[in-house]
Amino acid sequence: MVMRVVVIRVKILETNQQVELDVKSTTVRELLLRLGLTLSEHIVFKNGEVITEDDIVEDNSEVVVFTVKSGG
Amino acid sequence: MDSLEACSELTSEELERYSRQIPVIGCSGQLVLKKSRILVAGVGGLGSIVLYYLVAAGVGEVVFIDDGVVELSNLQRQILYSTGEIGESKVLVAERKLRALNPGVKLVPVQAVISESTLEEHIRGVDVVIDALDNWETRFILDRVAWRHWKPLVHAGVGEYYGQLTVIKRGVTPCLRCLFRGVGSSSRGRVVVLATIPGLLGLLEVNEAFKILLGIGEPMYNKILVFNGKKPSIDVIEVKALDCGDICSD
Repeated sequence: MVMRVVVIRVKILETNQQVELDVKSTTVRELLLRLGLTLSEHIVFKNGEVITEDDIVEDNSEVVVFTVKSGG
Repeated sequence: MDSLEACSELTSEELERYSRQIPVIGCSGQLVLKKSRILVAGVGGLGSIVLYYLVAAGVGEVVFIDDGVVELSNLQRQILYSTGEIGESKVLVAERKLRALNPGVKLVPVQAVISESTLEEHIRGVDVVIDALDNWETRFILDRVAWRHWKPLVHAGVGEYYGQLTVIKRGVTPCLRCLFRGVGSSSRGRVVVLATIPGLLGLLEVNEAFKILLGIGEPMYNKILVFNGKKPSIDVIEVKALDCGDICSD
């Protein structure tokens, strides 16, 4: 029996962190919650596409999170 | 138009003033800038630097809108203003400084709240719109009006050590509301930022505007530049086609 590696890789640009989450699937909302990040200030990209709060991120995915800045 | 013909359309004063730039973009490029009209929304940290360089480089007409007055806490990063001007209208102080910098540029200061009707009044005939705002609520209004009129919109936002930049163009990219959907449009907090960050991002905005006007290089369409002032590199996120549904419709 082959053991599957269940992991979602997250690159957080602001802190330049690479985080691996040991979960099979999660919503964007849950993913940000696990990372202690707020929904309203972060944009999540998966394969170049913006994914929003109810979208599912599955294992073996790589996502990029960046903090949107609002000042001017 | 050949370069000699283009050069003859510039005055001797302009040929001298822009003599370090004309060898790069040509007299024809300088003429393009001279015939261009740019709208800048916001005259704060980003807007100060944006206006300074647009005017210095010889953009023909610059419309700039803001309803604010100069405050002491602005002076750490808003380089158009001085201590003795606290309490004065930002757009009027900016006009005075910019006219002294380059009297050849037509300046249109608009002391007003940035609303849909203010923007509708001033956006016609504009070649590029620059977002130098400090909140998403107003940014999304700017995005809606620029989108409606098919005007390229150069966006930047800054905070702390960081900033992001992208260029929106209808028919080429998603609108800002789609690209940054989910961002809290009501967030209108106090700007906290290292002094250099709006300067850096503001300059990048001007650079994008020049690329668009002059038809050179690759504007940041479908790319988000993410600047981290603590890192020795800049990240660029490629944006693939997005399903925006009705988000971008008027």
